[in-house]
Formats: sequence, C-alpha cells, structure tokens
Amino acid sequence: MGITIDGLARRYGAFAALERVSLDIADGEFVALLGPSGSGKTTLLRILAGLDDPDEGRVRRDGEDLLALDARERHVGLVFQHYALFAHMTVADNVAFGLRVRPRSQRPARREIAARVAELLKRVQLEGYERRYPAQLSGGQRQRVALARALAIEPSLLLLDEPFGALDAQVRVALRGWLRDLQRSLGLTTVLVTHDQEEALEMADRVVVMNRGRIEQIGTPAQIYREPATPFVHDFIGRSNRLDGYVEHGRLLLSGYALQGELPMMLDDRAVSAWLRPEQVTLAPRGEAGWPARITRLQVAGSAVRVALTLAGQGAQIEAEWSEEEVSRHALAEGSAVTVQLRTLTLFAEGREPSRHVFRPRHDTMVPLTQAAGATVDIGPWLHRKL
Amino acid sequence: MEAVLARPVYRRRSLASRLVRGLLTGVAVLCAALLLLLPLLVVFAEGLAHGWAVFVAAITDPDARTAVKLTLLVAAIAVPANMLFGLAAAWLMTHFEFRGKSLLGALIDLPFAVSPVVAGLVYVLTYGVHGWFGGWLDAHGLRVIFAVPGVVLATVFVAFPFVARELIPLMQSRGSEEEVAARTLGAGGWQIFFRVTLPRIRWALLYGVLLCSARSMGEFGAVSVVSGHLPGLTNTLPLQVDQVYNGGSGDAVASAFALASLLALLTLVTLVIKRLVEWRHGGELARAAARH
Repeated sequence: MGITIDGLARRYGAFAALERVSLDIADGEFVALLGPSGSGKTTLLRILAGLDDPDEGRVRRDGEDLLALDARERHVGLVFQHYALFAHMTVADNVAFGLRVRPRSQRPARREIAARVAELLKRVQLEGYERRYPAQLSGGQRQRVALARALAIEPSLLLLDEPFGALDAQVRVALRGWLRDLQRSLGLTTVLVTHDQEEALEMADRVVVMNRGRIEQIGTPAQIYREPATPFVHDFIGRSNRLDGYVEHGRLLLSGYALQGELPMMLDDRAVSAWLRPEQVTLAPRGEAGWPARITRLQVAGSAVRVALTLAGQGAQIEAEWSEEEVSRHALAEGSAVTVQLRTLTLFAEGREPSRHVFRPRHDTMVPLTQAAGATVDIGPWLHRKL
Repeated sequence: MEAVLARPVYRRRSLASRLVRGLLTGVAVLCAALLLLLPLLVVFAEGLAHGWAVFVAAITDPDARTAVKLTLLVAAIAVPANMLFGLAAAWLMTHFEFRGKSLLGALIDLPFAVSPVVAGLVYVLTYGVHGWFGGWLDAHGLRVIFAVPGVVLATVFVAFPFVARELIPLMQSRGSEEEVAARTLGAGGWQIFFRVTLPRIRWALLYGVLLCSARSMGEFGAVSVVSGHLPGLTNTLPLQVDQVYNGGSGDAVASAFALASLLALLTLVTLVIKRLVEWRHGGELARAAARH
C-alpha cells in the first residue's frame, strides 16, 4: 500500500515550487528526493509532514487521506538538518516528549515510557546518555537523539530533511550506513531529502531526481547513474561531458568530425546534445582508430586520474578518468598526444519533445570534416553549411 | 597556541593601551559616582537628616501609605498585562508574516519615542470629560482620568515595550524549528507553549518583566498628567514625593527624601534581582542583547 502522491502542486506567488508531482512509495521503501535547492524537494517533504498545504493534488496513506490530518495527528516522524532538539530537556526527556504530550487516555504509564526511552536509546547506541543535555553531545549524537525522538511516536512514515547536512564528512559517511541498516531492520517507510547525490545513491532503494518543481526521473540508484532520462539528470548526477552536435544523413557531426553508428530516423536533421561520463572516454587500443586529442591537464584524485583533453577538430574540451596504472604505462603527461575513443554517447534531441538515444560510434569510419566538396563545415556549434 | 600568538601583541601595545584604558575607566567611574551613586546616597542621607522620627512619620503618613499601596497596585496590574501583551506581540512578530508587521514593530517602540507627558495628554484627550469617549463614560458613571484606571492605563503605556523588546531578538535567533518538531510529535498549541517555547525564553521574560516593573513603579510624567494629584486617592509614590517636596511644611524636604528613599529601595531591589538573573543566565541574555 504505502504512500500515493497524486498531482501535487504548490505555488508561492509567481514561483511554482511543485508542479503536478506524482509518486508512489511502497511500504517499507527508502526513497530519496534529490535535487538542487529550489527544486521542490523540501516543499514536498513539508507537505508530507503537514507543515505546508498543496494548492492541488492528493496524498493517500493506505487509502486514507493524509492531507485531511493535522501535522500532530499524522504520525509522521521528522528529523531536521539542525536537529531541533529541545535544548532545555535531557536526552531522555527529548525522546519521551512525543509520548508525554499524548492525551491522558493514550499516554503510556510512567514506567512504560522510561522503558521505551531506554530501548530507543539502545537502538541508536546512546545508552548511558539519558541525563545529558543536547549541548553536551556531538553533532552525530544529537542527530541520533533526534532520530530516537522521532521513532518514539512509532511513525508510519519517517521523513529525513538533509539529516547529515550539518555533520563532518567522516561522521556523515558512518551514519549513512548505520541509518540505512536501522531503516531496513525496522521496515519503516522513509523519505530522505538531500542535495548530496552520493548520499541518495548510497542509501535509497529508489531515487527521485527533482528540478524546478518537477520530477525529472524516478529509478534505482543504478538506473539513475547509468541511464539518465534527461540532460539535467546526466549533468546533475556524477561527472559529465557535454558536446553539441548535429545529426545528418545518418551521421553524427560532432566537434569537426563525422561519426557513424546506429542513429534513428527521427533524429535526422536535428541538433542534439551528446553526453558521456569521463569513464566512457578510453584510450584507443594499439592499432585501432580513434579521435586524436591532446592532454591539457592531469590531476591525480585518489586511485584515479582525471585527464582534461582537447579533441582534434574544433578543439572541444572533455574530461576522462583513467587509472593511475594506465597513465604511467603509457607515460602520459600534460601535452601528450593521444588517441581516444568515445564508447557510449547519450544523445538528447533538443526541441519540444526531448528524446533520448544511446549511440555507440564506430571509430574506424570516423572522418574529419574537411573542406572537400560535399562535406559540411561548422560555422558555429549547431550551424553547418554545405560547401 | 593562542597565548603564544597573543602575548607579543599585548607587549607592543602595553604602554599606550594601558594609559588609555586607565584614563577611560577613571572617567567612567567618576561620571558614575557623580551622576548616579552620589545622588542615591544623598537621597538616603537627606531622608534621615532630621532624624529617624521624621523619617518614620513621613513614610507612615496615611497619604504616603496610600501612595505606596497605589504604586504597588498599579504595578500589579500593569506588569502582568504588559507581560501578556509582550509575549503575544513577540510571538506574532517572530512566528508570522503579515501585512503591517513593520507598523506593529514601530507601535511597540512608540512608548520609547513619545514623551510620557504627551502620552498622558493623549489619554486625557481621549478619555477625559471633554474627550472623545468622555461623554459616554460619564453617562455610565465611569471615571478614567483623574482616577485609578487612568493611572493604570498610562503606566501600561509607558512600560509596554520592555517585555516585547527583550523577547523578540531571542525568539528570532532561535527560530521556530523546535515548535515545528513538537507539533509533528503530537503536541497541541498550549503544550508547545508551556513545554517548549516558555522554558526557552523564561530568563529573558523575567528580565523584561523586571525592567517593566521598575519603570511602572517609577513613572512620573504620564501618570502626573492623568492622575490629577489627589493625595490619598490617585497619588502614586513618585507623585507623592513631588507633592510633599513642594508642600512647604517644616520637614518637607526631609519627608520628601524619606519617601524618595522608599522608592529608590523598591527600584534597587528589582535591580539586584536583575543582576542576579544576568549573572546566572548571562549567556541567554547576551545573545538577546547582542541583537539590540
């Protein structure tokens, strides 16, 4: 059953924070809302928590209308970026808060509350911290208290609003895996809002990439990375190269070269943007054809080396990522001439109906666009003229 | 590390900076002594100048006792009223966006800007016999001006900003995330206020209330205009001091100073409590004060 979000829209004056967003979240699923600031992910979270009301749309939880309930009746656990712990209460009082404010008839007995608090603190590995105040805890500990406090009300939905945003990089990585395991063991439906793609891709079952109030793509972390549905997703997730090209007579004209390969008819005579990841730019095996290029910069990043290349032709700049071993084997340095192959290009046709096509160029038949008769010459990124 | 870096800086600047520091401290202490401490001592000294008997007679005089009672009564009404107004205004200013918010902010500060005498006159013109509501009030047998309600109104007016101005910066700096968290945990409005909001602002609130009560008890100008100076009826302690002083009897000056010392004592007590609050909860208040 889970949560069904249907056509949610929210406007603030002229600014559309959410535009007809629909999303199904399965029971026990971990969903990450990923996007830059202003993409609408926090607005969506606030609507789910009952802190904001949509202008249009519905949200159902197991068939029940969630929007009809006030925030305090929703049983939604919310964890904030800056913890929002009650500074004047001890850790134990913070965790017990949600139980103590219940109406008398539903309130557990004092001893029962104490037992639940102890159990929750054990869950978040903070036994023995009951009597401390939030100010006496580290950031990671505070966030775990905030999590225990949210879990105390036995929520049917857990919302995490940039929960690691205020933490050190090391603590962040440690907490990520820990929280993921905890969520799995509880089987609790969880929505994480983040602008950190690593966090989203590592933790979530499914990632929802948002941009300007719309959903760009919904998919598993692997799908999001390997098969980006839109240019925005390709650009936003991981590292990307973008080249502008034009499709003509079944050939892709790209930066002064004509590449042959499988191209659908519908792309003919259309401007396209060609995207590829740095790891899809490889050195051509000895004796094979490829694209002449020159290395302009080598930068060691851990075990990999980031290589900035200038392609022959119109001098397009792209980035490749090769292993250190490969770089030293070929004795590559800044200024070296190399031959590279572009393994897979994802083409997005510009225009009203964006279409996506995966293109594997054949390097053996690639030819430079010379000024021979019948060839075309580029007079701008998208403009070509027959000679 | 810090000490190592700091020491040479001190040494280089030591001579000039110590001289300037000493000079400034001296001037400040001298000013405080001449303008604040000396007059305060004079109040007590003059009060006792004609002997203990005159002092006791002055403060046990029926009119004086009524004045003390009225002063405390007015403070007992004005301070809680201003506390509630201040809390509500601060809550409104920090938790909501609405039209005329800056106007409300300006209105809260109005009593600081307007001369108390003008404030008093405004009340006379509004509620006095010849004022806007004067006829209606008179017809219903209600007296506001030259009566206790007028004194209370004027006092509420002049002491209005203290609580709100103390709370607004603190509430602004803390934001409302804790309240939001409490709401998602199932707390209702009053539970949020008493369990989350109030504990957070309690010391700033107490501080504002103390300032407010000191002002309420000491107000002269506005009260003077609306009270009508009726001894034993509408004279508060400051007015009584003024009247006795100008009364012209043999022990007038000593009696006036005896009453004044009583007033000073009341204010000193609030000041001591204020210092204690500051000393115990300096951190919370400093954060609020830094925004002023």
